[in-house]
Amino acid sequence: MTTFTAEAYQNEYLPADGGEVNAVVTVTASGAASAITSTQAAEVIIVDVSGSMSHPHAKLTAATRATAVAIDCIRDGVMFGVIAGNDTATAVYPQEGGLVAASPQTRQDARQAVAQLQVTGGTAIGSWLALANELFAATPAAIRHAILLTDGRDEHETRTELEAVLADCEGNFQCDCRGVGTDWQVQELRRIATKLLGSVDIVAEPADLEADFQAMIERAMGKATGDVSLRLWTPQGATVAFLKQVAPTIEDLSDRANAVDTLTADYPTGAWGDESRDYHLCVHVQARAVGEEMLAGRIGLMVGGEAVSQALIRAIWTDDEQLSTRINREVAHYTGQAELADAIQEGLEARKRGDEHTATFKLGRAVQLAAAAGNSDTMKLLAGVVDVQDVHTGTVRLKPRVQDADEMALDTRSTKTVRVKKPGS
Amino acid sequence: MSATCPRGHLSETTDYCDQCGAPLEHRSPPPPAGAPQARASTTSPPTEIEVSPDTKPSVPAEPCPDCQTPRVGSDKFCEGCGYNFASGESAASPTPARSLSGTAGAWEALVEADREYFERTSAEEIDFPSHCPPRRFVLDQPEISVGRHSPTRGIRTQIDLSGAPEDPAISHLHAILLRQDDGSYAVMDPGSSNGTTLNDDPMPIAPNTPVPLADGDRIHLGAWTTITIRCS
Repeated sequence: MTTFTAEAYQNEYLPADGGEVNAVVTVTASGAASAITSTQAAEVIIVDVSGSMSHPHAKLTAATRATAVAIDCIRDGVMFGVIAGNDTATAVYPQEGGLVAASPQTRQDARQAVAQLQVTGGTAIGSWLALANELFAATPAAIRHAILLTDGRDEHETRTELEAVLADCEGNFQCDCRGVGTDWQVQELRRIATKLLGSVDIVAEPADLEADFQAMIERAMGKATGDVSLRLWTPQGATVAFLKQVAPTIEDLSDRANAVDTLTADYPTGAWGDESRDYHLCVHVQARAVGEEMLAGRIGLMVGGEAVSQALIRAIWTDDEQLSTRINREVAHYTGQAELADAIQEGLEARKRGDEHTATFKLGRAVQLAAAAGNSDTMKLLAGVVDVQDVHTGTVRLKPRVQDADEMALDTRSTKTVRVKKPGS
Repeated sequence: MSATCPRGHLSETTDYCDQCGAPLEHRSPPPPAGAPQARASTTSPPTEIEVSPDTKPSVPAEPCPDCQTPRVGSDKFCEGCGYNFASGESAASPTPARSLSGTAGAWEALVEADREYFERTSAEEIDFPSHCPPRRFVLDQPEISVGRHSPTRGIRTQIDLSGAPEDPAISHLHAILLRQDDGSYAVMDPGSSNGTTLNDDPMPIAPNTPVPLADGDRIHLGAWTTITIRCS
């Protein structure tokens, strides 16, 4: 049985007339490991077989090998299937459509079917997702996860078609997206992954695919509780400025709100294993008199329609400036992490359109923030794009020549955050 | 189990009012004497609240001076029109972008229902409006918000697209026009529900990233709205 706990970190003191309440809520799930075997799961692997996958041919070889590794990681009893995608989607295994329970025999049959994949045609990712959605619709499994691997842009359908499919799929399954090579678009895959509560990343070297697929499947199989939502209540007259997941990655959840009543909304968070995630909530409330207290938010976890744990976000108005000007450490940390992600994305954007001034400024700021918060992985990625002269002042020089893969890796991973350093460490 | 809060709301939760968030007198379960309160992070003592007489439920609701809608509790804004009870300001106050006078070198935004954009993208359940006069706005402020004015949510946009015919796919705060150093404008999408696209590019612009605009650039938002940016 998985248990959830929610804990709020905030400075609840507001100055007179102050109305902005910030809090970081840490949600931790534990006990999943023992619950996994009893949880029904379904897995669909979607492999791009468009013509470009054979340029170079190593891409297809790596993709089919990685798919085979992923299939091997699917534990017995999990319902699974493999889809090949180009301008349309084809069920590769089982060929007659539907999903089959994993067993030594079915895994071997699936590997054989994947080994015979041929490449041809274009890229219409929406049609692939639509087929996956159909396959998932037929299973009662609580954990429904897909892996999408592509090397190109979604060129053979309109954005409206893709958006319509995403709207259909939303909430039905989670999808981790991987781009191989450097011809795909970060924004496009990020849009799909965000909508389907998954991750997005670049696999620049086809040879790295196997390990990545294995990790993704293991993570998906480690989930024990599907369909977990955050339920947020705010008082009359309050507005939710934003609700963001801030660790392990930044995901703005604000747009995902499903209203329960006028004061309450649910935010889907997908499936959970043994893990901990942090959320940053910002609520604007109507100021009350000094000395008054107000509950500015109640964040609860909804698992299968039941409330399991909650954290309270409070506001107390005070004229003691020492209290009201204090910034909570967790809130400050994640505000910095969000600024870091923005600085990277804005810096890369500026670089692309030739605005070197803005690019240097933004990426310099990113270096400064990453160094201060200890984002060592992000620092390494930044070093692929700029020459760092001084981390403390954020003085950098744009590299004249940058590998596409380095730039895309920095862009896709810009939303990965680090947790708050424990005091004294 | 339910409780009545100092402001007169009937609350199903017994720690804080489930309407206005006011602390309830006998929170349950009450913290055992001497035990720390079950709450996070800060160490300061809880503040005792005195209920002042004017927040008692018996006080009749004061009507809004602008639209006569009864005020809900001690709400700051009128539910009907967004009138600010605290400051006495009407909802229409935040200096709307001046409608046109036509100075040379001035930037302006022309808002139109765009059939071509509508045909290209929109969902079937939305109809193209039969009558939609173009609206023009002079861009004369460093920051101009675009969206559907929402008095109840306290969102007021300088370029307000809430008038009939209303494009249902536009967010309350959908986009922001930002003046650049050279006087031209950039458009930024603060994370609207349905995104913002530019000219013929089908991909939405990245949220929270200003994209500079040139004379004649078309900003597409919602189901059928196109804003053409012009320099006269």
